[in-house]
Amino acid sequence: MKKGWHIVSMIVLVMLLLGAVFIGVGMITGADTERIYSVLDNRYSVGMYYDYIVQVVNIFIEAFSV
Amino acid sequence: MCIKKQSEVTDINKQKFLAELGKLLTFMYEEDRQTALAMYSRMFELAEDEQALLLFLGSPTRQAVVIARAYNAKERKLQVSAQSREEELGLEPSHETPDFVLAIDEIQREAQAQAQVSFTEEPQPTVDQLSLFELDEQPLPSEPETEQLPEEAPEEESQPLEEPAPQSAESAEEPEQLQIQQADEPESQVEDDVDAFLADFSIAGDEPEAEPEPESAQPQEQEEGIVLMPQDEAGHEEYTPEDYYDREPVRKPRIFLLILFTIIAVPVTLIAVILLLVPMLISLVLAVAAIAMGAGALVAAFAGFAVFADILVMLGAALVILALGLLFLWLFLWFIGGAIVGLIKAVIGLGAKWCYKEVPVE
Repeated sequence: MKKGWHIVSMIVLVMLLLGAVFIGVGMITGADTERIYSVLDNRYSVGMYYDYIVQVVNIFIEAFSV
Repeated sequence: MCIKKQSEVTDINKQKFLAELGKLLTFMYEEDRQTALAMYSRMFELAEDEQALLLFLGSPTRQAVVIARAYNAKERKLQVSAQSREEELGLEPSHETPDFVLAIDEIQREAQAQAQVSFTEEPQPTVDQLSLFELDEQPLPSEPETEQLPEEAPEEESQPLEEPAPQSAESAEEPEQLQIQQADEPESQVEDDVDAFLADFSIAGDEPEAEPEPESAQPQEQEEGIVLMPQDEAGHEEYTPEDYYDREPVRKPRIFLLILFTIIAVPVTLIAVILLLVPMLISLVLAVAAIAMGAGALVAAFAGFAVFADILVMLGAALVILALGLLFLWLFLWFIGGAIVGLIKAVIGLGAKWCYKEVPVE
C-alpha cells in the first residue's frame, strides 16, 4: 500500500503539473474562457448541469442545517 | 593464567560433553543413566589428558549410540527384577554386569590402547564414601585396579527399578553388541543409526516401534533423547545452548478474556467498518464523476474547439480532472484494502496479544 501511494501520488503530481502547464500556455497564447464556456454550453449543456449541481448542494445544506 | 584458562576450557568441554551425553541417554532407566554418566565422569577424572580423551571419545552422540547398542531396556528391567526378587527371597543376588557397563569399560580400555590416554590410579574409596545412589550403604569394593574401573555398577544397579519382572534368561550377552568401531565410522552414519536404534527402546516396557526411520544425509529432526548437533567445518559437533533451549513456547488461550474480547470487539469493529464505508463510497462516486468529466473534456478539446489556445486549455483542464479522478479512485481502493483490512487485522492482533499467554515448553 505504501508503494502504491507513492506511485499514485507521483502520477497525480505529474498530471497536475502537465495540466497546469497546458492551461498556462493556452492562456498565454490567447485562449478566452467565455468562448470556451459558450462552446461547452452549446454542445454539452454545461450551464444546465451547473445549475442542477448548485440546487442539489443547496438542498443538502438546508437539510443538514435544520 | 594460560594454564588456568586451559583447565577452565577443559572443564567446560568435559561438562558440556557430560551434559550432552546425559540428555542423549534419556532412553535409559534413570539409575542406569546415572551409572553411565558416573563412569564417564570417572573416566575424565582419571585421565591424565582430558583433551586426548575427548578427542578419542568424539561426540556425545557417538557414545550414546555405543551405549544404546549395548543397552536393552527390557533386559535391564528383567535383570533388576530378578535381582530384587532374589533379595526378597533371601538368596544371594547374582550381580551381573550390565552390557552397557561392559561397553563403557571397553571404551576406556580402547582409549588407553589406541589413543594412548593414560589413566591415573583410582583412589581407594573409604567406607564412608557415599555412592552415587544414596540408598546403597554398602562400601565400594577396594580393588587395587589402576586401569580398569571397579565393577561397582552391579551393586549400584541392585537398587530396585520401577517395575520388577521375572528373571531373565538372557543375562550375559557377549560383546557382540560391543562392536565398537566408532572410530572408523563416519559420524553421519552413526547419527543415522541412532534413529534406528532408539526406535527399539522404550522405558515403559511398551512394544518397540516397528520401523526405524529412513536414513537421511543430514538428519535435522530431533528424536527423543537424541539431539543432533550442528557441525562445524571440521565435522566436529558444536555445542550451543540455543540447541538445547530453543523450544517454541505454546500459546494458551485465556478463555474468559477471549470471550469478553469477542463480545466487545466484534460490534465495535462492525461499527468502525460501517463508518469507513461512508468515505469509501463518497470517494468512489467522486472518482467516477471525475474520470467521466475528464474523459468528456478530453473528447471536447479535440472535437468542439477551433482555436488552438482553447484546445490547450481544455487539454490542461482534462489532465487536472483526470488526475483528481485517479486520486479518488486510489483512495477508494485504499479504503477497501488498507483501512478496513488493516482495522480487522489490528483488532485480531490485539485479541491475540491480550487473550493468549505464551507458556514455555520444558
